[in-house]
Amino acid sequence: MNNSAVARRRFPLSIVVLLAAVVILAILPFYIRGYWIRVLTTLFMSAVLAEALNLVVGYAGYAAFGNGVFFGLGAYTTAVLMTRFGWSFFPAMIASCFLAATVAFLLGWPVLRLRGHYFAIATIGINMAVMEIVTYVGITGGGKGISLPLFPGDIVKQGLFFYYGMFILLIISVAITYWIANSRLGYGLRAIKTEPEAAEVMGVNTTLYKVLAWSISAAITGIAGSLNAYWLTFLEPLFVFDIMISVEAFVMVLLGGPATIFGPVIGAFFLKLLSELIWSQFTLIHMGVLGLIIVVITLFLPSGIMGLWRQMTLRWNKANTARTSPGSQ
Amino acid sequence: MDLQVIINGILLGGLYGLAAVGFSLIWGVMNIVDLAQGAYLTLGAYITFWLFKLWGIDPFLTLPVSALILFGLGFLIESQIIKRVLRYGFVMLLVVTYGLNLLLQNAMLVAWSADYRSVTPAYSGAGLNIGGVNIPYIRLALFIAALLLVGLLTIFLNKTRVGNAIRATALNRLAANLVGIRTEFIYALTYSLAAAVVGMAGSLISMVYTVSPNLGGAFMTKIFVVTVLGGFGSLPGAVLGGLILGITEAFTASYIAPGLMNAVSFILLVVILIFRPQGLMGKQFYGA
Amino acid sequence: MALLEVKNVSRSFGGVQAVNNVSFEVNEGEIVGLIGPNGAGKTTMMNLISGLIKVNEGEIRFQGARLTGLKPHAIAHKGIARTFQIVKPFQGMTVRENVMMGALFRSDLRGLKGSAVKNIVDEALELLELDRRAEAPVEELNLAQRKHLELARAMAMGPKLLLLDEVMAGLNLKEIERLMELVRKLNARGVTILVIEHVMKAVMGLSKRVLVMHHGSLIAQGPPEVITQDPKVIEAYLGKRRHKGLHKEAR
Repeated sequence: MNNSAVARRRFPLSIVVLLAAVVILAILPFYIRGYWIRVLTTLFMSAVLAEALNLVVGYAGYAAFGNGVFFGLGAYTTAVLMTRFGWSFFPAMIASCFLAATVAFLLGWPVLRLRGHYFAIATIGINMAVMEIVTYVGITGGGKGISLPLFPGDIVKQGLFFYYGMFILLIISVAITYWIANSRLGYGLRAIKTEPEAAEVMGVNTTLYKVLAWSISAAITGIAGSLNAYWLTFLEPLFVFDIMISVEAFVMVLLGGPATIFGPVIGAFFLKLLSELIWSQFTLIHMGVLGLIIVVITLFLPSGIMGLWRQMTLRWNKANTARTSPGSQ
Repeated sequence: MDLQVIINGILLGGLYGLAAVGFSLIWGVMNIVDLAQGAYLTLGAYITFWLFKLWGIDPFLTLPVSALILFGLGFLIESQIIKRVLRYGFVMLLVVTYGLNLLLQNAMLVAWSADYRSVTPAYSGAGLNIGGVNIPYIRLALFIAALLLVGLLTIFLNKTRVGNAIRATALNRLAANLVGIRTEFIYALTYSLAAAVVGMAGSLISMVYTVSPNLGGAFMTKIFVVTVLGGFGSLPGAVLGGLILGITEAFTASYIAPGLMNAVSFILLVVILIFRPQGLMGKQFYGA
Repeated sequence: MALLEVKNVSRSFGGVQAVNNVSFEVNEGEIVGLIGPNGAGKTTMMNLISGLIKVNEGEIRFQGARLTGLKPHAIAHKGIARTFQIVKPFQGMTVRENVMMGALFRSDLRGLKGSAVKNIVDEALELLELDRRAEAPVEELNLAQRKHLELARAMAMGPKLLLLDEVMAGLNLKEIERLMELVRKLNARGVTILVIEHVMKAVMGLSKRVLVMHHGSLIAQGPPEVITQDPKVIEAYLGKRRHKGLHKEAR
């Protein structure tokens, strides 16, 4: 790369911090109790969902308000394959990933032609429609839910399996985002976000790029759903197809900073830890507080934590940049 | 097709239409998909419930109260929050209105619990019976009230100076500004008006549905379908969309499977969006 | 064989015939001007060539191959670049990244790696005098600089044909002269240019050959000196009553 992006200049420091974070999180399970292992597993999952949504919302600029549909699809594919067809977990997980990606790929061609509100509403419609169908169809256990086979092994092993499973998935999704951000796909998506016509006449196959981004996002979300299903061992349509899954991910992306590599992860950690530490006891007002946080973020931190950081560095750089160039009078 | 099914669908569709009018208006004028409409609807329903329960006020007479309270709330929210978020674009608006919806819904949950409550005036059981087709008086009254309200709003938008200013702003905010319309005021007015209308829809809905903090959530998805069917910003479109949705639901429930009622309307939503995003009647706010 | 051939092309929107049976050619190495009063169909013509709008009738060929029916990105890959009348910089990117967008998706280069992209970008930045602003966020550029950026992006695509849609609009006299100089420089590097322009001085100064559109039809073509004396052209611009200097009125 042409050392162009501002963020990459602080490479050495950020890589040290990153490696330290990875090492700490990797050895942490040996020092903490089951409760915190569960909390962190949930946290990783939220970060994965946010990171996956970021590809569509942050980079391509499409408000996929119903991206949770792939979470539900992944969960139910795994559940049905394991329960009804006796598959073991990993093949079922891979099938879930493929199914989610395929659905996004097929729906993407017509649906991603819609812009703005229309796309947002269409994804909500798809989410609800799939939920209703899953509730109706017999093989999924319908509205009563479906139970998965239990994880073989004791509760400690089980906790570690899902902790590391989600952790690895998070690392993979961050790596994918990093790769995309520095590839033609990433640049194409960022161009599509602000000027789709200009992107198209500059040689970007905009439709293909959008569909690819959505499919990758769906694949990651599908795996998260699959792992979560095996972890919970019981699924209900209303739970895994809840619009709140997407909305929370949305808030994490916005809080952290859309179209940044680590923003969504930071947003997820921030929001989830806050929720765990401060108001997890007050379940009655959980939703209301989340609503309040959303309103406060949009009013006071519209470009997110990373955006704030970026603005500050830009202002810093600006002071050191020459001002002479064509047309300035 | 069974006449009873059609009648049921039409009567229900009128309410759907009224519920969607505010949402459609905000979308058409301000280009905002207002996800807080569900909470306003619920609040309207609760207002009617409490006035009826505590003082025995006839549910139909509570409409002006709902309208006034929701108008005030809408004005407050527009001027304090929505106005400030406008410049950040539609994604932020989508998210902030969802946040407001959560906040309001949760507030109602805390204040009035998750209990299911119903409004049952003395006349709620009676009905007409014409040639085997049963028409409950209350459903008929709600249908007529819904049409009347949409009609009044249409007249307001077309015949009054303020209404014309709203329509002009919908067409082109900048141009409206240039000819001396205070578009900032028009935005606040539109939002408050829309909140008032959906609040009244909630009041009417409380007479046939059980009231709980989740009432608005269930209706929100219907509002989407209706608005997309009719084309956003179009009042006749909203009514038409409501009727189509009502009939489709009644038909699906009677002839296909009751369990697929919602699935069919969501699939309808996606299909219409893909093939005719401007709605069945087209984008014709200015022709409303 | 001409580089670009437009043959009997028509396009209507609803009942309005925006482009009506237009034919012309652009030869390799030329700067051709396309002028006409507001609503003449110039921008529509440009959108038809770049593929943003589909042709109803007729066909467009580039280097002998049909463009009609191709997606805009495929047309771009064939070597046609364009600018937009209302500039469309990619927000949230630096000036350099904007120009890089032009180089990244070239069909003759694959991927981001290597110095090829960097060299192309550096050259385009320098050519359009944007090198000193390369790392600035694009939001900081003024209008003249944004117009330069449009050109730099297009040049990074390594185009054979460059379509310029009113690049001079909104600029002051000094800026116009500077940009005209640059356009000549691009042409000298072997890029064929079709330029839509409202600024008469610019189009007359740049092009050896001018096409005139009016109400969707091509009403005249020829050298600028001849065109300005053509009664049909004068009438199209000024109506039937007055026949004063075309330059003054149209500017």
